[in-house]
Amino acid sequence: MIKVLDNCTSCKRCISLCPFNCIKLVNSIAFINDSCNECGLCVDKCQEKAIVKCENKSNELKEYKSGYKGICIFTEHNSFQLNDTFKELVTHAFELKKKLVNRKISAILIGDNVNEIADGILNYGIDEVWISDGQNLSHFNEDVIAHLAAKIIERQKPEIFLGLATEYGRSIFPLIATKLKTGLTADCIAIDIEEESEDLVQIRPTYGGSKLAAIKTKKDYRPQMATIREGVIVGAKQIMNKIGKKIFIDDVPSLNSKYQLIKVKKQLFEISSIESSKIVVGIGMGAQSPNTLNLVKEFAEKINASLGATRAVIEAGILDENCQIGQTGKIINPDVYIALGISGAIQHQVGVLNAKSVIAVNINPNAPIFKIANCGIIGDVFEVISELLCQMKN
Amino acid sequence: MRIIVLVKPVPTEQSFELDSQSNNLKRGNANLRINPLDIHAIEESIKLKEKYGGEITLVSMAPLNSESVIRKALSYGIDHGILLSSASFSGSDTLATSYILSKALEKWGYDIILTGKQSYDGDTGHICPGVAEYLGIAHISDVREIIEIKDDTIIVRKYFQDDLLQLQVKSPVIVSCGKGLNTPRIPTIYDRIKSLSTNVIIWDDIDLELDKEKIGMIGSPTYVDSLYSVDVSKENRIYHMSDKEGIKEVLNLLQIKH
Repeated sequence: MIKVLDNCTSCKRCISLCPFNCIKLVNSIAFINDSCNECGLCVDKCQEKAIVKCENKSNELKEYKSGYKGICIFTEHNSFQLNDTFKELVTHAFELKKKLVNRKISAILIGDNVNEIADGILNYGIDEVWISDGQNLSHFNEDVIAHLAAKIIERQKPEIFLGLATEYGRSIFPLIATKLKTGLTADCIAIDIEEESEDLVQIRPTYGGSKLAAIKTKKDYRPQMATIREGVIVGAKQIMNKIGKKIFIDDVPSLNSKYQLIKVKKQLFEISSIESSKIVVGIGMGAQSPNTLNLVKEFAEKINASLGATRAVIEAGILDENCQIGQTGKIINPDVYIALGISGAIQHQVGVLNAKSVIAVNINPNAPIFKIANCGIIGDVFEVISELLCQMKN
Repeated sequence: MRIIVLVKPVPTEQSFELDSQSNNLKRGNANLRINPLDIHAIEESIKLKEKYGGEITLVSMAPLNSESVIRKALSYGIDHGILLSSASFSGSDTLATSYILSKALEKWGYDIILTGKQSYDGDTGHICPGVAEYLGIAHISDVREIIEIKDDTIIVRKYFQDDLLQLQVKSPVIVSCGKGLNTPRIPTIYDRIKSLSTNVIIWDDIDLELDKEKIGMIGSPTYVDSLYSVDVSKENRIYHMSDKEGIKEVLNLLQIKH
């Protein structure tokens, strides 16, 4: 919970900042009401450091939900092959295993005729693959797949259950978590194990301010579930010695699915250019005016860069959705990222944390983007880009 | 047809582009707006009403001070509004919220439920599948087209990876709507005037007969343990525009990587 301390000076800064309007002055001290969402913006911005976040004391008194051990990952596939980012999930599991004693890594695989996919999973050194194989288990039968996954989890009791935050993962994981009545954190940009408690720490941007939130699942809820963004870790490599085994789950009664496939239209989507380019130019609201935009496009073409944008610019219809960079857009790994007129809220920062160099141009010297930039220029985007183009002509 | 739209008021400065100029954030209800993707759900619900008849009910779980934002949503041509509000709801994560919404939906009755794909504050996208699970109905996240509603099935299109699927799904369903689904119309003057007299029903935890262990912070399995800043170990060099060094450095960085 968020608490206001005695050194509050009634400056009212937090009141004007609160995105949820839940602070007011009571007896000259800031008072936070029940609508507080713990976004932490007031904690961040209070200049007197008079607002703090306290531990959730009630959790400490609880008992752990017993018998839950092990790390489990969910396999996304299209019946023919593993999702190509599955190997990232494998890396996440192995990283957690380093900090947990004697834990097995297992994978849940549900589908129709999936034996070869199971072999593919074992090639990554997974200890066990729990398999449910049947004809009504195509990926679109989300109701049955979630039902089976939940039954398998209830039986096998892993303490951690992870999936990737693909469109599919974001659709099916909440189904499974709700069935299990357990906690699920969406779109983590990192996960970790807290040393003493061995609890899973689920990290994602908070939606107010410039901080990351470390989220945990209360002790009496298990498994701890999370979906993780693609692109935040390097995928695992296959290993030579397969040691794991397949366990077939045949005895869970299935259901009739509510979904029936009528037809499929295969489309070929190219990987969006911002994901494959070595140089990416990001456009923020400080660079979206028509004159500036044209100049920026010219500049991007000259340096062979792809164009990306912040959520606000996409919302304004200036660039297409698949150019969005950030927590709710793409996470990219270019060699050079040039942020133009972008203030750099945390949701945007996490999109480019893996860029090798970051260049930022912003007229505001306090823009948070400068904190993650190798090289920053305080100035007007139009002027800076004009000067760069001018110098490049020489 | 009983068409329900689930909406959520969210803070206006979601882009947080102006975060560094935080002194300019406005006070009062100007701070809140209807989640943009919920507006696409509202538009879709109006199209369904035009095609199949029936009534549209807006349902929102929000603090009482967001009533004016709810009223704004009603001006799109909505027949009924229900605000779910109680101090005991605050601190609810998506599991608790899905439970609360589902109890309200069971109480009111529904034939089809629509909502935005994700809200611009939490961005989880959990509500559509979460509510589906509590109600025991099918869900379609990010529906791309509602082709037809028949007696006990609905035909929809959605993506799986790169494929566009056409599915027949047993009714009733809950669908979530993204930006690409439609282009929201602007409310007519007639609809705006009519909405002024639309009654907003307010239900709390007692009206919904909720199990208090399943709502609010008590009913939420996840919690924010701590907040911390991004750890960036980059060499950081900031220049002013008037300083030629900055331009030189940028050109250097571009040439080396080129």
